[in-house]
Amino acid sequence: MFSTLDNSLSRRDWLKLSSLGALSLPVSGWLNVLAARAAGPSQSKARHKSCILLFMEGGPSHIDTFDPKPGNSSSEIKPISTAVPGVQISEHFPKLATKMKDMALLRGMSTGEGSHGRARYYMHTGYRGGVGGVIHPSMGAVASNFLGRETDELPNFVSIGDRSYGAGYAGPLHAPVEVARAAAGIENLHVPDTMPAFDKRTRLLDEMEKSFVDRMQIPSLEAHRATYQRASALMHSPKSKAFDISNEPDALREAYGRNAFGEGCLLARRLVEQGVSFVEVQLGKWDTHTNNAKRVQALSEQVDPAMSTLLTDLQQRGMLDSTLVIWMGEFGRTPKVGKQGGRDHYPKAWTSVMAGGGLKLGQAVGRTDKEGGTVEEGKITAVDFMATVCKALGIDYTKELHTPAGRPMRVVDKGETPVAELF
Amino acid sequence: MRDFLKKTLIAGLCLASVALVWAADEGGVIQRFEKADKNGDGKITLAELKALTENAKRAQNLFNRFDKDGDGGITRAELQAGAQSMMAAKAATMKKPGKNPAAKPEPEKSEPSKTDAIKSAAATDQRHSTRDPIAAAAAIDHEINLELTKAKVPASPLASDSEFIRRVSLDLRGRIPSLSETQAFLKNTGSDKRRKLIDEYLADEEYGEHFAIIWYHRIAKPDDDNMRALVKNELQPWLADGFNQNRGWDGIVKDILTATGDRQHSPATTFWLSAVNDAKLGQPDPAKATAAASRLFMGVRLECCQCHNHPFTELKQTDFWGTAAFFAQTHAKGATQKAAKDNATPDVFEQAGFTEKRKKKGETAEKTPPAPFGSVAIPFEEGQTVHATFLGGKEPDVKGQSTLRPIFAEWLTASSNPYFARAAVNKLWANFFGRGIVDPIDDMQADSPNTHPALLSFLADEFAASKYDQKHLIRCICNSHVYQRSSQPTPENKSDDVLYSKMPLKIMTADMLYDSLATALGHQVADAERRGKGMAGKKQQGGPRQEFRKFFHAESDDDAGIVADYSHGVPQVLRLMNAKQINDTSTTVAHLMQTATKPDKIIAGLYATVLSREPTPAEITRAKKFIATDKDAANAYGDLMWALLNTSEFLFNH
Repeated sequence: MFSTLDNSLSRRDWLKLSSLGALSLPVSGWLNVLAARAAGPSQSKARHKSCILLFMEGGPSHIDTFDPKPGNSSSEIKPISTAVPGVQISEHFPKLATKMKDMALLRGMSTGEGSHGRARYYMHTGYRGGVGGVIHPSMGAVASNFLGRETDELPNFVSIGDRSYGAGYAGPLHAPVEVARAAAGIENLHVPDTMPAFDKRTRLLDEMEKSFVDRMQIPSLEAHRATYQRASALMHSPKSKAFDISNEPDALREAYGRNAFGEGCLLARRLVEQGVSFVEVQLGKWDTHTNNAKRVQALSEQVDPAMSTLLTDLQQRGMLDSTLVIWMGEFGRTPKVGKQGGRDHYPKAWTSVMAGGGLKLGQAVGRTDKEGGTVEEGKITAVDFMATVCKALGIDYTKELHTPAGRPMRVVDKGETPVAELF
Repeated sequence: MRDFLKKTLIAGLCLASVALVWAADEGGVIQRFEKADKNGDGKITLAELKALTENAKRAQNLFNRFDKDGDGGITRAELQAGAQSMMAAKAATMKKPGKNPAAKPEPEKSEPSKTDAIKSAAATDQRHSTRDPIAAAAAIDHEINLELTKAKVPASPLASDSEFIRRVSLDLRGRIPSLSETQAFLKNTGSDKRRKLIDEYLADEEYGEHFAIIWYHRIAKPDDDNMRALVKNELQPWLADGFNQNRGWDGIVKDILTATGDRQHSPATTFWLSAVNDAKLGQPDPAKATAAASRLFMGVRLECCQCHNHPFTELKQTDFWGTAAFFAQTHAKGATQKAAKDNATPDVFEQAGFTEKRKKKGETAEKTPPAPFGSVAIPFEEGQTVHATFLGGKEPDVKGQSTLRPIFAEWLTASSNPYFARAAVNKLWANFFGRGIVDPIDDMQADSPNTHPALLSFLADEFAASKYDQKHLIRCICNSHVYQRSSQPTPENKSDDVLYSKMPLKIMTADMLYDSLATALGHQVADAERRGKGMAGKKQQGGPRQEFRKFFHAESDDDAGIVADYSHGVPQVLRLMNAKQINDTSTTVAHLMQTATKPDKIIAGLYATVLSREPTPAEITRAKKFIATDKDAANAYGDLMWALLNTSEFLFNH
């Protein structure tokens, strides 16, 4: 589907989708076709690989998290040993240390974009922003495009927390559904009155819509129809309960942590469980130009329980092998602590983490020097990283796509080398 | 804004046409009244009136005329009464003897009031071309029909009045017409009422505000580097005044490209502040400014050749840096994160040899050694500098000059410039038709298809000959049959996407949707609110409008100000269907149920409010059947309105 992407892709997709809806069924009407299907038995087994991206906005200090450097005099944390002999991480990750066999540390990240916005865009899309006048689809939109199905009741790309990077030229079908606060669930999922009242007025809308669509015969109108179908299906679907974390047992909620990030991770698991292809959970405030040590500790204390519980939870449900979990920021931080007690942006050498996804885990790939300032072995560029994510999810990243202007563009830019040690 | 008001007042004082405008516009009266009424005591005193004009004698005359009860202050009622009697008197002198329009003072029917309103607007219209828009409209039709005939594609018939008023209101004012506006227009039997409506909307302040929104978002695209310099939006009102006063596009662009000073007093500097780069210590980045200037004002994506020669065109990497060199000595103070925290207003200036000295510890910004005057250094390519060069290869003589941007601005806006008028015309065309004559609109140098080269040249020449009069250009386009065609396809032209055999559908932009929902739902969009006081106003920049825009706007919207294709995803649709504010149809329903008792009338009112048209008999029957199923009539009408608001017929501009 993605390979035929051109300026009419979205239209064609929508047409395909609406052809699934039975326009000729006068009883249920177009809005309620998927809704009727949603009321049927639901398949809850994930049918493809999914991805949970834990995005650390601001750029975490690699030296103070997953690439400790006792030899660096500015280091303010102690390294601790993990379940994998020889691999050490920050003392503020005691729970994650026990999960190291399910994780791989990529210590050779070297990405070359040191400004937040551009770096975030680069790490989400694998392309530098603002070049060539196109907006590239982010990881989540790519996953939605390749792994999602048009008939899914749940969205294929959910972003929890801040606004993420969107679908770009892949079109609104693959844009993220945004959840600002995990505990509050998805906005406007519920009607102000009752579902029977909603159904009654959507039947009226159905009839009204039909005459205009018949008159105009424009593909864009099919897109309108399809999106309404999908939203209505979501409202009717028992699967939409996945957005409500209040049903989870207290003990598990405690284990994830009763904070926005912990709740986001729990929601991510619930969504992936129902077949959502890609969930991004954000944790901000890693831009520690000042007071680095204390702030990194506080943030680590949120990451440690949430991420370790997520891995355990996925494992216990038999989903860890089919779910790739990524932990990363937009860059690392300087090996030296400045006068204000902070570290500045540093894209030259940093660490990301991958877990689950059926990868070869329990290892640290790549190495930085003893200050944590230069990659000595196993250098990974943004393009390499994006290719690795795609490969882990079973996406053919060499496919060439066409932007709306007709320009050919690969899913992942040329010059990629996926991290071989993981496969 | 205040200046504009003042000019309007001065221009109109002798004829009191200001009062006529006021009289024709109930909401406007209140707002302007309040503006003139400085101390807010509900009366305009002589002193307050004098404060608005240099001509004390005229102020005195006008004051005497309006202050009927002689209590030393003009109340709102006195103002309206005075305006109406003057209007009637003036109309009587204009009309042939025998007719007595003074006997019929209802503003709705009185053509003179509109004519005078336009005259008054023309007085502040800085360009007001004397060229004939109707002849140009015919030329547009000729060029378009030529291609249709060649392709043997028949055109759709002209749009109905309902389609027309809705379309032209959305395109020129950024919102659907109000119920009363629609009803008045449909009732009007004048043969040139469409031409007059175009003029009326162009004289409406919402016209400038609408185009200001479009251009503000094209110019000020927030990113992590510039967001701190753009916290306050002073550019949009500045642009709105420019569009409303109909300044020439050349003048507006020149102001933008040569702007200096602090953002508050010189809002045009926003263009340069959008180009700041945090990694360059809050300095405008010549590369960013070059990409923006070429895309916005030349219709060329020069940034494609920032790193390499353009694959599809003649453009070379040196073309990019040759342009960037004009911008290389433009600097900013106070455009950093720290300055924003201290509430500083950033300041833009052009100065040769200036280098930003502050250096942060650990900053990883690339440090390029400054290039000599008139040149720019290519980052990451040590020692490579490029001279300021116009696109096409000519190098200006910069000896003895101290500033470079004015040289570039003069070249760009000269009538001989091959890019300027074509880019502007192509962008404006896309606003109305959802695509450019060359599409994509900002990649005109590439081998992008040009569907109507002769038309593009004609419009560019017309625009240049009118001294870049945007209102004139809009009159040319909107008076054409091509613009006024129905969007409904015929079996023969169904598959035509590029020949303009019918009006293409465009999804409303986020701002259009916001203002149209507010108009339909009666959410505080009395004129005074719209004019910027209330939360729903176009000029209001934070709060609900911004939140709504962020939620509904499509990424492609920023560049083009137009979204032809469907852009809503599931979250947007959920909000449209279920959000409390959007479901609050009570104001409109209650109003209609008060003014009419017959279901047919109420249903017709709802259709006219939301879709700007009468319902068909079949639609009335269906709606009545639906209403009958609910014991609570108000609730049923609310549901009907909900359904209307969620139809594609509402959400699209067609």
